[in-house]
Amino acid sequence: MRLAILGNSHAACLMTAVRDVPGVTGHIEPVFFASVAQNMGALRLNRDGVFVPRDETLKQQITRSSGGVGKIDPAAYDAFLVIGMNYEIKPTSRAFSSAVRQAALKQSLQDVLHWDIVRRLREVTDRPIFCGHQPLRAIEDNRPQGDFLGYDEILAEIARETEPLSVTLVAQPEETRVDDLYTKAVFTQGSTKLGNGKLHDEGDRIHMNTDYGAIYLRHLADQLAVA
Amino acid sequence: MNPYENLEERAFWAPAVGRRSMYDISDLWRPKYRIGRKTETVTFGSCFAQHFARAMLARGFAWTNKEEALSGLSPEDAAAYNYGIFSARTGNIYTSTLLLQWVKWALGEATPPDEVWEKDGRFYDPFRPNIEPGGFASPEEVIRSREACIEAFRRSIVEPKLFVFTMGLTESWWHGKDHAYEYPMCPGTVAGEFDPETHIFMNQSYPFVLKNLTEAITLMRKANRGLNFLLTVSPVPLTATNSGNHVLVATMESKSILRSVAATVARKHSFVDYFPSYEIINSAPYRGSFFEPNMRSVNPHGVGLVMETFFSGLPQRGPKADRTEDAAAEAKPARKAARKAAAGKAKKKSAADLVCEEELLAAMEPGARS
Repeated sequence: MRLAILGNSHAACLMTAVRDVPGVTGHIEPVFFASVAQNMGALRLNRDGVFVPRDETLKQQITRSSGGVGKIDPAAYDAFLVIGMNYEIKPTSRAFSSAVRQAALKQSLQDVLHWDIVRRLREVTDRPIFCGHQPLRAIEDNRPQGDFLGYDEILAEIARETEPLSVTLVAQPEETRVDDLYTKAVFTQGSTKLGNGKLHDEGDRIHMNTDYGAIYLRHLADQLAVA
Repeated sequence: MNPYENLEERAFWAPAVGRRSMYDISDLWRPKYRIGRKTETVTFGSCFAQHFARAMLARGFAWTNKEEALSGLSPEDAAAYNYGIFSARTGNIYTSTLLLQWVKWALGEATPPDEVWEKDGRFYDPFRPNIEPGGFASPEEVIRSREACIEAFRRSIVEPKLFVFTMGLTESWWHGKDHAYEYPMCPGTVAGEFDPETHIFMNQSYPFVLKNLTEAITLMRKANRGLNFLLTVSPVPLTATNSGNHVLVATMESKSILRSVAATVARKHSFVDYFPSYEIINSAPYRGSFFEPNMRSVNPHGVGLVMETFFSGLPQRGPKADRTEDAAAEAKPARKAARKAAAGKAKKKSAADLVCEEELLAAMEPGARS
């Protein structure tokens, strides 16, 4: 199964896992189209339904990450994983009403690059699209305290709002999580940057390492097998 | 020699008002204590309090919101859900007794009732009936949200340096003949069901308002020794009265009581000041110029002049000679706009988009009732 993976810096841990952990993808043949931060916003959908980079920087980055493919032709893939690009899950207090949460969620579906890419992708393909949020923030001592919605509850609310897009939400594997809404700190150790492969700063709490990427990909492979 | 011989010009009607254009009346307010850009300020009260929040934010003053909206909510939705309207999501606090009620809940002196109203499968907070357009999904959600608001209101007492409170009404609605607790709106208007046996009307008297405002301020000062208060009286007339009087007469009575209480409390305490927004909008020299055609809503020019008066009253940096010039320069745009408005030259603007639950009573007018 050919899987196009579209993402930003949070795709790096998946790329290093594919590179360093033999057999981690199982039956999946992943092709990465990744660029840092919001750069993927410069993808343009042309008349043939192909995503082409609007600028040279993005062209270079996706060419490099994909191993030489400078554009994304949805017809060439069996499924898609869109990951990160500001789709994030944060602790949400139960003091916010469900109506407020729903309004914020609707707004984020409008504002966040991840969902913009998903929407445009859905315009040109009816193949499965999987949506993965950026990793939950790594746990730290001074995390906010309070009565928060559970991870599964948040994911269920997102699933309800994204139903019209016919996508499958990818949950962060349970073994990478702690205290329900955080990533185990061990997964931040040795995480590398997408562009140059250098280590992230020591205080980085949002980018994960190859071990995390490998666990994520195995879970994804299971999910794809069912789909 | 008599005491009047040494008074400043502002003490005499003719030079301070009578011989001046209404737009040149100045020096209406001299603050009792320092209010600077860094003075952490919270605002609560009647609809008109919202102008202080907006103007302070626009001028870079430290107005603080103690109950932040959920991240990702658009500014429009945040406003629709009443985030950032006041410093906590209390909705309008019209009376001194409502203020005291919130203060007691926040400081643990009383426990909020567990009353929740239901309408068409949605649930409403009797103490903030309009806080969520469309209501809450469950009674538990109402209570959780109210608890968060009470905690935000507590922080609005213990953390800031300045508490701005705009007094709005004397007419109030209570639960039970023993006046167990107060509603901000008559049950059955925004939500809930009116029960004449349970829901009791009270038009508060001067001593009653004074006693309760004093108690609220005393409790807040006990929790925060550094807290100053700025009282204002909303110039906005009543939407409707249940007093039995004509609404014009009821309005004058209510506002007069509130104005007198504000003066009494401000005179008594060095940490309580009164700002004359009520006078700027309502007194005779301004000839009602700052009301919309309905003679109730205050137009943006009036709001602008009120706020310019506030800011120009604050001490400016620099030598004293420059301070007067700075203040005059600051007041100029608003005065110019006000002149235009009075002359009918101003561009048509809609009334400021305020959150005023009391205005919902207009739906009860004969002819408007469905």
